[in-house]
Amino acid sequence: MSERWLQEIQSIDGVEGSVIFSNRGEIIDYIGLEIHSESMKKLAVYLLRLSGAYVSKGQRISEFEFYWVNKYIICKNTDQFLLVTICKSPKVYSLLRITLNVVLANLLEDKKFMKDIKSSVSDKTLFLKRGEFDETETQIIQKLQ
Amino acid sequence: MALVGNLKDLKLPSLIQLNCMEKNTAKLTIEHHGRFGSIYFENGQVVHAEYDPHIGEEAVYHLLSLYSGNFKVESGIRAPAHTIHTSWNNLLLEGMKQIDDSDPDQNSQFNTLFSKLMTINGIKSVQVVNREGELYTASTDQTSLSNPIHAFAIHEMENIATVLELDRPEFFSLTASPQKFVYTAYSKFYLILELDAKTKLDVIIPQMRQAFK
Repeated sequence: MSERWLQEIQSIDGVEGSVIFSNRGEIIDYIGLEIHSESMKKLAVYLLRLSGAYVSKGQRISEFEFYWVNKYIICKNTDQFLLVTICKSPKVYSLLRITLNVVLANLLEDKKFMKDIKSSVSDKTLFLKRGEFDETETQIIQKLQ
Repeated sequence: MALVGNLKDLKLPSLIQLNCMEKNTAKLTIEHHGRFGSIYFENGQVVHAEYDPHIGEEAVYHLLSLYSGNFKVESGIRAPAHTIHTSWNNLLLEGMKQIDDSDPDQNSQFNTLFSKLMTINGIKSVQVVNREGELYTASTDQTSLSNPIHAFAIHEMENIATVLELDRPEFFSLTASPQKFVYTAYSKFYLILELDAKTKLDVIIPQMRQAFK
């Protein structure tokens, strides 16, 4: 299922690991990462909140990218799941992007994977309504509404 | 035959200078993100300008703040009205002065930065905002892009860096087709660059770093 495709990403030199989150922030599958840490769960929440903010404005984020000199994170956002890949450096950019597009297309066409993930699909703005928010988040979410 | 181009390649002050020194009678039309502006020349003088809702000298000053936009110069077209009576060189001087006036040092710093960034292929506009997403200045006078969603993007990006025990990222981008935004800290501000959605960051990041130097 998704394991094979995550392995494809993992085989790229410089990739530390990948994780697939559902729209509820649940981990569907992962490779190469210390995934049970609180930070990973929060990562999903923040990405889903930001995605939800755009959905509330009638737009859909398809991709997030974070650049540091020695770290690169790319997140592919679909209607059903988030695919997050963490790399040691943005130098792997070209090959990684091609691979991610292939993996994404295959995951979206994988009937079993999509069937399993379907139960996790929920309202994209869920994370704007539920959870713990800091003061700034609360203020901005009010303005967004 | 009309002269066409983009302000990225030929700046408006140069275009005005060219038409005036050649003693042209012509209409210069500028299209910027769907808004149209025009400047009319008669015998080498700027005699009329429009840039909704501005007319006359004000329109010229607002047009001078644009760093990109398609332009067309059509010879022989006369102005529908005469609203400008200042000589073209004084008009240009006053326009440049107005751009720099509100905060001379900071503004000229940003104007220089904008002029560098706007020459990079794929960059459509640049906004300077604070952490609350409030607009400080922009490469265009279109301020509709400034809204709480940018403040939220900046805040969640900083939250993500914190949970991953990393510094604030040098660049953060999100693609919400047909828009793509890049966020980067700049002094006490954030720059928000709007790109063509297909622009590859690895191509323009080195150019952006160069522009920041």
